[in-house]
Amino acid sequence: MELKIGRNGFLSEVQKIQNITPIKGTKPILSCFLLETSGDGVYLSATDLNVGIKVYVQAEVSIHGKVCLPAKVVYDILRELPENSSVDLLLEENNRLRFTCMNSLFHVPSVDTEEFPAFPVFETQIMHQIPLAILTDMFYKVNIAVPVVEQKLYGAPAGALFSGDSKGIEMVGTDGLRMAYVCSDKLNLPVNVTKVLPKKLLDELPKILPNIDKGKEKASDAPDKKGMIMVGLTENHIIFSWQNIIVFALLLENKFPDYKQPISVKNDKVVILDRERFRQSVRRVSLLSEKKDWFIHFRLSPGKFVLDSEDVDIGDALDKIEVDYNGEGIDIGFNPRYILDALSVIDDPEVSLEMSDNESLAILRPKDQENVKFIIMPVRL
Amino acid sequence: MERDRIILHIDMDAFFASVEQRCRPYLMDKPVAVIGSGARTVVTTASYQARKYGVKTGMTAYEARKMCPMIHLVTVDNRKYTDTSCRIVKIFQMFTPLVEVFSIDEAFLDITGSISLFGSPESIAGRIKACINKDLGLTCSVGIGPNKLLAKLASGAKKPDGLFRIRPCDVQGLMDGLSVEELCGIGTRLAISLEHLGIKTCGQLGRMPLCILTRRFGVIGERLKAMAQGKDYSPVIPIGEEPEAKSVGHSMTLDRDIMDKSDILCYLLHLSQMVGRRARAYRVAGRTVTLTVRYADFHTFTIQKTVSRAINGSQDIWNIAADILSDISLMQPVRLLGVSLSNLFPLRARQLSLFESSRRQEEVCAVMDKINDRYGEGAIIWGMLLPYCLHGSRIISPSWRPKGIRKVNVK
Repeated sequence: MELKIGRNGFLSEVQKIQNITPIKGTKPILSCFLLETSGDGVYLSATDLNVGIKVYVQAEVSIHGKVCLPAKVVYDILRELPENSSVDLLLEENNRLRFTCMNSLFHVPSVDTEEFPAFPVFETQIMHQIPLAILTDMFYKVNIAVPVVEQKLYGAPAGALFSGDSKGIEMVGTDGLRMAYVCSDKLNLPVNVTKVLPKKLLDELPKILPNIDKGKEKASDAPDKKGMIMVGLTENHIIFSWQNIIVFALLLENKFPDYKQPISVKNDKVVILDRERFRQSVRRVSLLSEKKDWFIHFRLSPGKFVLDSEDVDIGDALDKIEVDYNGEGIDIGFNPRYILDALSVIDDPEVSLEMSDNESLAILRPKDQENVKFIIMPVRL
Repeated sequence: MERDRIILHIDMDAFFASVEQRCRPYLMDKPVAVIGSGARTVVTTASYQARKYGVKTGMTAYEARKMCPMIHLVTVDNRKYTDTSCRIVKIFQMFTPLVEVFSIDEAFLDITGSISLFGSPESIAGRIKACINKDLGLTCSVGIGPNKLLAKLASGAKKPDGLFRIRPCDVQGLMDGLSVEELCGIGTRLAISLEHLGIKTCGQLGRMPLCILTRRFGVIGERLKAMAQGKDYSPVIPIGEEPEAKSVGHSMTLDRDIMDKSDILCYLLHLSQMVGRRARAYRVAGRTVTLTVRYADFHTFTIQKTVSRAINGSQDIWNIAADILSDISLMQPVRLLGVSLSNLFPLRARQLSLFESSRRQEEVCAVMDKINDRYGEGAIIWGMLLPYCLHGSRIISPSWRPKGIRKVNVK
């Protein structure tokens, strides 16, 4: 195998690949990626067996072939090579790959390509176009509530529910104590689907998809024709295809908890808050909340919203926000982490905090959007 | 400060056996051994009359009977002992508020400030002994010393019914020839390590250059040297001021060795319930669950698992213990199981859960606690525990205390 490839293009694709290769694991082969020549370019693929990626990069191929290389090593080499240079790759007889770039020379041992897991062949190829920006925004919002590992105690899987039909798509993430819900009627699928997407896909897909100004476009915005992504579903996989990239993920088999009941709740004690002001107050007050099981008090009364916390060893804190509120007062406790996580993915300048009593769920959402909801359970004081 | 303090160490003589003898006068002056309640159990205490025949703590009932055929074996009755222990503590508190309960039958008293009220240390010790004998019919050995270490050493010097004082001027002569193992805090293993350094007596240990000890034992090297010189600066920590418990745990020796994981799970549920109940009663929750397994050949190991959120629900603890169990393949039948919850902190507030099913679980737990509080432990249990007769050997743990989280309710 022999080919010439542009350093910049190669580097950016290897970087995407690197997001998928597991850092440590039982199978060393998974820390490698597969490089296969094809026509005027190369396919790079990597997988951790749950999520996989395949990208295409243009190259001048003189001899066709394939090789399996350690992702981290190749990434580190490419990063140090001069910008805009081109790299010559040659597979030598002893299965070492020679990198030459201007005055630099590297040899990297390759791994037997037979060991590398085959990229799955997907049976259904019904692909549907949906706007990329809206999809990644949904991923961002939902991901805050998805636990890193399955929460068996609460029946919450380490993944988000992805449910769609011709009317729209909704996504839900929960760890059993809070929930993030986003739906959009701007997106739809030709078939009815309800699947659980793994956390890793939610983490990595937005990083892999390039050049989208993340978070700027909201689920409610009109779809941008330029950034459409193809989505396909099979019995066990979800596949995303965008320009030269294909990402697939193995769907989780877990049952998802009943999310419909919490999202249908309507609370009567509603206060509108400036997002940034609210975020600052929560951050300040949470500094002095108990370190291990931290929670802060919210006291809402007509015209006044008081946040406070107390730690026997450290001290106490209090912050006031003037609000336009005339309803009944409430005294409620929350884990500030949950509030801050939700505020970090809300883009609107104003948020609506909706509560009913101090033992029932509260809803935090962008003021003018019904389709984004963060549901947070209080702590019993 | 060292010179000024006067510490008493009071050790009840053959405590469990003496309590039983007092309760059953026909056992007076007879060889008695108190044994656990399970199918296979060991002697927890032997009366002095039985000790003459060589009956010792830790022997099986069979071995005890072989040594002393006329021995009376009595099953433990922990409530008697905890109740008596609490009464004894009350007697101590008449002389000083600084009473540290060291175990169910041992205590340290700091009487430095009581001398002007009650007279010399010997007379205080005498009055305490008389009081315990008069009120409860029990005898004890009292050691008087300038610190806890020496007081403990003194109480062991004249057993039973002894009274011995170590004065600061006698310390050096006394320590010089004393074997290191006599010191409270130096066990067999540490003694072996010390012997590798050529140290057998406290005198040798006390003269050892500090740098050698710290190189071998780290930070405790300094403490070892001080101990060997009869120095101990640790204060008497009165009841209620003990450092917070670091873990809540229970263990039990099974009636027979078992291999079947589904049987083991049932025992784990029972233990998790005991742990969870105590944690909930004292409003603490923990993030780490530790499973202890002892095989038939006494090989023992522990595995722990830490979760992201603090828990104290019986079922939550059980789920994690079961998770740990599913990851191990048992090499031998299991003799003892233990479950403990650590990484504890006080639960000032409880995070509520979002979904009905987990909320229900919490409510069930709370209701079960209420029923068991009202109608006695075991009034309501999980159905899967019904086929089992789960009471264990009912031997009281050395960490039992008259108050607080360490006060395990005993049967």
